[in-house]
Amino acid sequence: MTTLPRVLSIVSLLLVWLVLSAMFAPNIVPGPVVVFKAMGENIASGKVFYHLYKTLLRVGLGLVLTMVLGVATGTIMGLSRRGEVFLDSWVLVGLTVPAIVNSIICLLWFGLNDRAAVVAIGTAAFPAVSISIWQGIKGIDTQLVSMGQAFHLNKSAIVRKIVFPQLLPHILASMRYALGICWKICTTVELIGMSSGVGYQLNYWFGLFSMAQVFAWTLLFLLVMFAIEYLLFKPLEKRLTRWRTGVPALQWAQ
Amino acid sequence: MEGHGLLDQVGLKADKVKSLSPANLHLMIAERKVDIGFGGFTTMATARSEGKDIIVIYGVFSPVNMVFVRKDSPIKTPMDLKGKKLGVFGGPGSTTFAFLAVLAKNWYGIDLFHDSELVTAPAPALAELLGKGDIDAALLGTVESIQNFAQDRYRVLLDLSADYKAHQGGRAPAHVIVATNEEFAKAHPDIVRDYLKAYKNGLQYVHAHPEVWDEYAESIKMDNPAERALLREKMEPNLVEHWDAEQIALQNDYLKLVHDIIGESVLKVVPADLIRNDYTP
Repeated sequence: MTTLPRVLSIVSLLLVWLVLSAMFAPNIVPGPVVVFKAMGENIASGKVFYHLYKTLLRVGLGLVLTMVLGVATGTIMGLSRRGEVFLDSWVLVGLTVPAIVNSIICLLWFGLNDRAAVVAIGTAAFPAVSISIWQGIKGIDTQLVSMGQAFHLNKSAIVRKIVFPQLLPHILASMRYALGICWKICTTVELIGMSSGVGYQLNYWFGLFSMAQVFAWTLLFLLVMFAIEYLLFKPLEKRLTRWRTGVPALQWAQ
Repeated sequence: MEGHGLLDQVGLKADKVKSLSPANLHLMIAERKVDIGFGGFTTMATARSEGKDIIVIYGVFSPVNMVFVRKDSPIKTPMDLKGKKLGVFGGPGSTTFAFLAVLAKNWYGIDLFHDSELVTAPAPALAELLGKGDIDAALLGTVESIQNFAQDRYRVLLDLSADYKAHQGGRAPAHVIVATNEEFAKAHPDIVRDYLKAYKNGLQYVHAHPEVWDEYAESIKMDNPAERALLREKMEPNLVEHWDAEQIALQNDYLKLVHDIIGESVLKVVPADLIRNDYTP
């Protein structure tokens, strides 16, 4: 049922791209053929894999740090009023400071290495996760918790069987959202201070005025992110939240 | 030119636009945000090969940049850079690195793009990374090259212009040039010509008034007297004095080397009509 709209969506996107490339010069909007050719050449040269590996490593580790910090602060804020008051301004500062500031500070503190990139990603992206988890905890159905207590479930069982399943959709949603933020921050860090990765390649080709290569590297990373989304995140989410019933209106829409 | 009234002498008033990085400056020239600008020669050639209507109308200076290694480093020649970490201040797409890559491949047989691990960072950071042993060699910017040479902190592995001249004889190609766009040059040939006249007057002024080197040193916060003295000693001989047929042939030959040796990574084709002397006064 969902395959056709998805295919139509991708085809229409390609058509828009084709039309734009016909309207503008190739050094402004290069056409799909030129871009896919550049991408093919990059893959054939083998250098793609190294730079992609470096970016994915930084994004992956940055995402882990983001989730650890985000879930920890969000949980404290959700469970404790004092914690909420204490961490509220931290999260606000984290949300307000531009990611490029985190990047510059981390590069100056840790040097031009992967550690700087990972810390910059983690510290810039975690507030978004904190808020999602914080709101998720506030929305937990306390009647279910009371029911668990009535059935003499111990604290561990209440957390595992009642609290965590309700929180899981928030964790998964914030993780998918954080992945996008992490990729954007990683690109910035790589652009200003790294010697490898997709952001570095974008900067390199920007310096050489090659719009086709800028598009090729962006597209390649988009394809990888799509693969992560559809081959990892969606199946994982489906499996972990299989106990949930869908919203009737949405079921009807499908 | 501006500070000593050389533009006024030819009746020009210019709005100076500063850029934080060479890449932004190149983009400003390519996108016609400035009418005349100073940029990297190879990068301007790349821009023209990518469809920008840039033309190079004069050479400014050939590289003063040097590659440094630690004094106790086992690296004795550029060939020893194989498998080593080489710091590059402008990145592998920069005009200066293209110059080094051409030298290294042409005369030392080493392909720096593939045989070395390139580390991109600002030049001051590279100097520190070299000291800490995080990189094995560093290609530094003009000012940093002069500072580190004067401080005798590291050993010079390669002086780009000196090495080029040693192998090729005669002059070295300019890696920093004056560029404009074709449309502006066609519409205002007198302005372009007058600007170059002021520029040439500026060259004569520099030779006749050595104190301008101190003014320049002060403007870039270079306080050390040894560094100040070296600034003139290293830069003055590398200024392009004549934009004549010989220099233009040299520039074209150099571009062919960039294309043949580095190729796709920097310059896909040698662009036609890039270098002009029709505006030279």
